[in-house]
Formats: sequence, C-alpha cells, structure tokens
Amino acid sequence: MIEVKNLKHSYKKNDEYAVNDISFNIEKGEIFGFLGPSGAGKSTTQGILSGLLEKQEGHIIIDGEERKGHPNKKFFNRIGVGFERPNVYKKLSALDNLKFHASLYDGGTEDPMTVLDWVGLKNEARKKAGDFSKGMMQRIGFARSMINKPDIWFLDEPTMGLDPTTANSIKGIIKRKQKEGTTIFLTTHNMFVADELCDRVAFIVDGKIAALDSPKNLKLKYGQPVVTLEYMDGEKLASKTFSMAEKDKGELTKFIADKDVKTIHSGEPTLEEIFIKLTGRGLE
Amino acid sequence: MKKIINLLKKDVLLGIKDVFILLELGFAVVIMLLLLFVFPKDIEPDAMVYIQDKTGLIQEIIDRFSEEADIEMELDTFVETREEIIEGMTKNRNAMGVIISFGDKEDSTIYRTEMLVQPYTTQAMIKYVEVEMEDMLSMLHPPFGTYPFEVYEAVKLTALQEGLRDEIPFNRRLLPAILLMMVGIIGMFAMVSQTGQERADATIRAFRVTPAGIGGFLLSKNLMLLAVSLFTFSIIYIPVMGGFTGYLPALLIIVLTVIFGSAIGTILGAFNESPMASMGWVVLLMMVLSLPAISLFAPTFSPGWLRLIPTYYTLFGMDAAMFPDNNTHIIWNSALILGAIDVVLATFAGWVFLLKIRKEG
Repeated sequence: MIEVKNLKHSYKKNDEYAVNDISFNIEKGEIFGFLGPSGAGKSTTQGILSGLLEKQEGHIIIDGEERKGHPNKKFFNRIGVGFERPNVYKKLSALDNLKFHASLYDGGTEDPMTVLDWVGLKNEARKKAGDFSKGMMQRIGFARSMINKPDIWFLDEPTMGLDPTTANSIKGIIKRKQKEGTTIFLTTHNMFVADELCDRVAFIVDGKIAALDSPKNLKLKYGQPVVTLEYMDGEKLASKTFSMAEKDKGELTKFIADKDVKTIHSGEPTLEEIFIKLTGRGLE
Repeated sequence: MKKIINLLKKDVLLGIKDVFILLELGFAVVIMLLLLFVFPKDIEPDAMVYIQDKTGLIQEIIDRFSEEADIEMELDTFVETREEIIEGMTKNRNAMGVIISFGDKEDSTIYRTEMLVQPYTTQAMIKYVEVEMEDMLSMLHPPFGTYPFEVYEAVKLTALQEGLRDEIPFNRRLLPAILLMMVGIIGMFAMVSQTGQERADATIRAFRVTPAGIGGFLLSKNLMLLAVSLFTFSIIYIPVMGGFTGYLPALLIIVLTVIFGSAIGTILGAFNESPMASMGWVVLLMMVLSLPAISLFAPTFSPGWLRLIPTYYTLFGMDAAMFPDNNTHIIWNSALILGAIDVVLATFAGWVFLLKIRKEG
C-alpha cells in the first residue's frame, strides 16, 4: 500500500541528512512501527509521508501511484495524523475542536461525540480544552486524528503522557481500527507500545534503518532466550539465570537436579535490548 | 465555500473568546465617545489683539475701506486704556496688545506702536503683528504702501479660501489618522497575533494535514478582520461624521488598508513563530506607517519619500472622501494605488507563509 524508496531529507539542504536513504513498504491493514530515539528521523519520515514536509529525494508510492510534488486533496481526505504534542484550540471546547476539524473534510466523518466517548472525554465534551490536563488534550488530538475515518493513520507517540488505563484504551482503539482495515504508521520510542501493537517495526538511528522485521522475529534473530531459577541456598532464596543456548542446556539440567529449585521462569529479550544490541544506542 | 464558512466561524469564535474582537469593538466605542465629547471641535486658539488707538487711525481705515470691502471689526478689540489691555491679556492668555500713538514730533504721518505681549509669545508672532501693522499703515499712507489696495484684497480672499479648512471641526479632522491606527493598521497586529497563536499551539499543523488549504486558512482570517474592521470603522465614523457623508469611499480605502496591514502581518507571522517575537517589528512598522499623518496635519511637510509609504494614500484618500472639495480623483487614485499594492503584497504574503510553514514541517 505504501512504498518508500531511497527517501532522504536534509533540513539545511546540505549533506546533513535527518533521513538518509531509507526504504520500506507497508501493507494494507498493517501496523508499522518506527522505533528510535529522539532525533533519529522518525517524525521527519512521518512528516514527509503525511505531506507536512516537502519530499526532497526518493520515492513515495501509495496504492501504486507515485507522489509528485505536494500531496493532493484526495490524499489529505484519506489520512489522519496524530501528533506528539497536543494541538487543540484551547479556547474552544473539546466538542467544538472536533466539529471544526470534521467540517474540513469532503467525505463522511465520525460523530464527534462518539469519538470523544471512545477516548473517555464524553463528559468533558463541552468544557474548554484549555482547562484540560496535557493527557486530556493529547486525547483530543488523538480523537481529531481519526475524525475523518482515515484509511492511512499516522500516529506519533500516541500513548505518551497517558496513564496506563487511558493508554490501554488508546491501544485498544488502534487495534480495533486495524481490524477495520486501517493502515497505521506508528512512530514511538516506547518499546512496549511497539512490541504490543506493531506487526513489523523498523529500528531507525541517525536517519538510517538499522533493522526491519516483526518484533517476534527480531527477538528470535538477535536475542537469546533465558531461564531464571529461584532456589534455596541454605536458609536463603537465591536466583540464577541460564542461557537457553544449546551449549548451556547441560549445565541447566544439572543445576535443576542438584538444587532445591522453587521457581522456573523463561524470558525473552525486550525490543529495547535488541535495539541496543543492534545500534549500540538506547531508546530515550 | 462550506469550508471557508466553517473556518470563518472558528476564527470568529476564537476572536470572541480571545477577547480580540470585543477589545476592538470596545476601543472603537471609547474612541468614538472621546472624539464626540472629549476632543475639542475647535482647537484654534482664541487669539486676539487689544488695540488702544490714540490716533483715530483705525477708525480712518474703517471709514475709508468699509464701502470698498466687507470689513468687520470686533468692538471688544478696542480699549481706552493700557490697563484695559493688561486686564484683557490676563483673562485671555492668547491675547496681545497694541498701543498706537502719534510719533514724538507730533507728525500725523508718523506713528508709534507699542506692543504688549505675553511672556511666552514667540518672536515669530511678534514679528507677524509688526508686519501686519506696517502693512496697515502703508495702505493708508503711501509711500509706505508696498502694494496697491487690490493686492491686499486679493490676499485677503486667498486667506479666506485657506480658512475653509479650519471650518472642519478638529475632532473630524483627526478621523483619518485615528481610523488608520484603530482600524487600518490593526490588521497587521491581529494577523501576527492569530497566525502566531496557531503556530504556538501547533493547531496549524493539524490543519495542514486536512484537505482545506492554507489559502482558505489565510482568507478566513482576512474575512474575519474585514468584518471586525467594518464594525469598528462604522462605530467611529458614523457618529463622529454625523451621518454617512463619504462613508462608502472611506470604507473602501480602509478595507484596502486592512488587507495591506494583514498582508504585512502574515509575512511577519511567517518569519516569527511566536506573536511576541514579531511585536518589535509591529511597533516599528506602525510608527513608519503613521508618518504620513504628519503631512496631513502640516501640509508643508511633504517630502517625496512620504508617498512611498502606502498609508499616505490611506490618509489622503480618506481625507478626500470625508471632506469633499472637488477632490474625488484623490479618492480613486488612492484606492487604485492601495489596490495594486494589496494584490502584489497579499499574493507575496501567502506565498512566503506557505513556503515557511512547509519548511518547518
């Protein structure tokens, strides 16, 4: 559905590239995650794809049609964009914010009150957005991004600054929209969100893609599963971790036979650990 | 069209909630009330000259010329004693005194004049009265007379024509300059403030990923400004002018000026993300754009470069519309020049704004 080839972008229009020759494709109905630390080029890539930034070099092909110049109205009618920063009219109510945005589209839109209900703001619908907490404003921004029933949805850090319950409900909406056929481009530096939501993730560092695969495959390919045992060491409870590598399995079996083992936990590496292993950098 | 209406609805709602519209309308009412009830209608100083004429010379002038010209002398100008002059000058701080007496040699053709002035009377004023006295005596007793009487009569007629200007009440004469500052240039300030706020709140980013274009975004703000301008203009103009004299042409000129100001505001807003960052420029430009007002009040100050400032045409165009005096061409010339500037500047402003916004992402 979305094909990106050799995309490059330099804010200073010199050889300092914020996005440096990246290529990937996103299938219809897929949640594609862009995982990387701040300044890696995630938001720049999203900016170019969503039409906020001009395309300087490379190719963007959507539904087989290559983008030439600035995107047209048809494109903007079918996309939704959620930003990292809340972007609401603080003097207007939550409902007026959504009504205004709904009025800018040519096609059918969601009912603003229904969308506010989805993000848990139905009871605050008529309150001035400026009186809301940052998390509540973030939710209005999220609601705004789906008001036009987009079939391509760009989301930048959709759960940042939200409490766990609200974050879960936002993740639930994203999964539901995916089931309805929406293609989602999600940029985040939160490995748990990426791991939980994304079908595939791309690790991006310094404007380049370091790895691209499903979270599961990345962990299997680059990580090492482990087993942690808790056992009685005299009067005290102690623990020891063993690698699941073939060469270490004998040692594990012997340990279980010799010791008074109380618990056994298998574990797999996190996406963050894989990211650090592959890029030598953290995600913050 | 539906999108523009929705954008306009949003901008008006924000304008009301931001208090901008209410402040504009409120200030317009205050200015109108000040012009009507506080600003004087006539600020010409009540200047007069008390004359103590010991020679009968003034009476001779009246007798001689009253049949040839329509000369009216105010009786309270003439006093009998020096003390009366001083008393009059104490009451009227703009007054001066002249005592006309015969010369020391009792020669009836040589007069002596003594001038009594206020401590702050300027040398220029003293000189002026001296010259007037000399002229008067010259007319009566040639060869002192520089020109024949007809010349003085002609000068008198010219002075009367110039004097027509003074018949326009002072509060009305202020109107073009006040409307320029209150309505015309305010578009610049409003545009900087509104685009800046949209950028600071990042609402413009959310707008840019919708099918409604930046052209509509700017057009809606301009329409809102024009609507507010129409109200503020009318609130001040109609009561102060006492009706609709010159209303439509003056409105045309102010509308063109609002578009000019808003285009400048759009350019400033494109270069500065926060409204406060643009304020230095706004104040500087407001000062420059108000410079032509000096020329309106003091026509002797009219250097060529002043005509390069577009508001020159606002002021003189509105002045011509408000105070008709066979000067319709000034209105249309001003409208044409402002219109041409608007087309170029508004197009440029839209282009610059779009370019800058797209670079920021």
